[in-house]
Amino acid sequence: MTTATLRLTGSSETHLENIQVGRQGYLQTSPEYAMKCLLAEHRLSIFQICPAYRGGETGRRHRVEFQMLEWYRCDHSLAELMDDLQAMLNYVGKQMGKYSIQPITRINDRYSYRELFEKYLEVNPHTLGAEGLAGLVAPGITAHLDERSTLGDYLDAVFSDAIEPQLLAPTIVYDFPACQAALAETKQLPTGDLVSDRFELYVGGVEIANAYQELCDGQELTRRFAENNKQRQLIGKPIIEDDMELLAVIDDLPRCAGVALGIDRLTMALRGLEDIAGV
Amino acid sequence: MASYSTNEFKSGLKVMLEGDPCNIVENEFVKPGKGQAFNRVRLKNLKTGRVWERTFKSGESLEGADVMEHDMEYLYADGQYWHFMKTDGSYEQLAADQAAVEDSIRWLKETDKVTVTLWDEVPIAVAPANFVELEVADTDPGLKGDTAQGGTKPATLSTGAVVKVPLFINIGEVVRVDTRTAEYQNRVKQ
Repeated sequence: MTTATLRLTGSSETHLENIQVGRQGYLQTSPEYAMKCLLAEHRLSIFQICPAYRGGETGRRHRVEFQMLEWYRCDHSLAELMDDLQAMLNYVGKQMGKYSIQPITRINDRYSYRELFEKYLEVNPHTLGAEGLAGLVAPGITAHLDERSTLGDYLDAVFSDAIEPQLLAPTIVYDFPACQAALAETKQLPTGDLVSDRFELYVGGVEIANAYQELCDGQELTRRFAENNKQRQLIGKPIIEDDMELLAVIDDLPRCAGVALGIDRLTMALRGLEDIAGV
Repeated sequence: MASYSTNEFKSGLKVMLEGDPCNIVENEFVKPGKGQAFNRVRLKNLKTGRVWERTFKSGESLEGADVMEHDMEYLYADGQYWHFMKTDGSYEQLAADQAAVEDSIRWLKETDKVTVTLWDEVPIAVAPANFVELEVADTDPGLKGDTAQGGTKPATLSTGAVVKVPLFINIGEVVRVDTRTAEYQNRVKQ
C-alpha cells in the first residue's frame, strides 16, 4: 500500500519543522497519520516504504528528505515488533552479506531507559528532574537549554551525550519517560515509574528505528495535540491545527503496534558509513 | 564582523565566544528523535589553547572573529616583548606579549619560522614549527658506545626546553625535536 505524501495538516510534534507546499498542504514528516487512518478502516497489518520530510534537519545523520520503512501489526505487542525487527535485520544482513558488506549481528542487548541511566550514570531518570539531570553532564552540554526547555529536553541532552555513544552493538531501548510518549500509550510500571510504551533500536550509537504501542484514545490525542501547540507557542514555533482526519478515526484504531525505520541510517550502519551523504 | 548561524558552523570557522576568539574544531547537528535540535560543537579557545565542548540551539548565532594566521620569523626578545617579522615580503614587524608566546617560548630560536595568530591585528598565539633543531646546552656526560640500549636522560636545550634524549647525546650537539609532543627525534649532524 502507499499513502499520499502531501497532507492537509502538518505534524504538531513540538520539535518537527513541517515543510509547507504553498496552499496545497504539508509534506509528511512521517506516514503515521495516513497509515493510521487506513488501519482504522481496514484493521489489517500494513507496511510501506516512503519518503519523509523534516525541515532544517541537515547533518551527518540527518537529511531533509529520507526514506522510511513503517509498519503496523494489528493485535500485536511491542515484544513481537522487536522480533520483527530482528527477523528483518537477519534477512537484510544476509542479503548484504552477498555483497560483502558487514552484516548486523543479533540484537542481544535490550535495556529499559531507566536501566541505561542506572548503568552509565547511576540515577533514576524518571524521578531526577531537570536540575538533577543537568548536573550529570558538563555545563557545555546543556548550554542550548533555557527556562523554556522541558524535562524532555534535559533528558535528551543527557541521553545523547552520555548514553547514546555507548549503544554501539544493536540495542533496543524501551520504556521511555512518559513525557516522551508522542503517540504511544503510557503505562505505570510496578516500580511506580510512569513510562511511555515505546522502544527504539540503536546501532553504532545511532537511532535506527522507533516503535509505539499505538495510542487509540481520541480524548488523550486531543490533549497531546494541545500540549504540543502550547510548547510550540512558548518557543515561538507556528501553531499546527489538529489533524481532524486522524481524530475522527483514532477511537476505531485496533489495538496495534507500529514501527518506523530509517532506511538511510540502516544503510549507514550496514556499510559502516560516517555520513548519510554517502548512502 | 559577520555573524554565523549554527547552520553555517563548520570546522575552521573563527567565532567569538564569551569574549574570546575561538576556532571551531568540530560541529555536529544533533536531533534526538522527538527532541529539540541542537549543534554540539568543539571549540578551541585561541587565546588559551583550551578545547571545550558546547551545545547551541539550532538557529543560534555567534559573532565571527577577525583571526588571521601569518607565517613569520622570530627575531628577538627585549625582555618584555617578543618580536616577529612577516615572511610575505612586507618585512612588517609585530610584538607579542608573554601571554601570546607562553606555550611556545621554550621552542623559540632566533631566525626560526613560526605561525603567529593575530586577533584584530594583535598577536594572541605563536606556534613553533612541528619540528625544531636545537643545541643541547646541558646534559649529563655521554656514555661511549651506548647507542642502542634505549636508555634516556634529561637534556636542557639552548632555548630552555628540557627533553629526554638518548644517553649518547653530548653538550653542544644539535637535536631534532617534535614540538607537539616534546619528544626527541634524532641527532642532527652539523
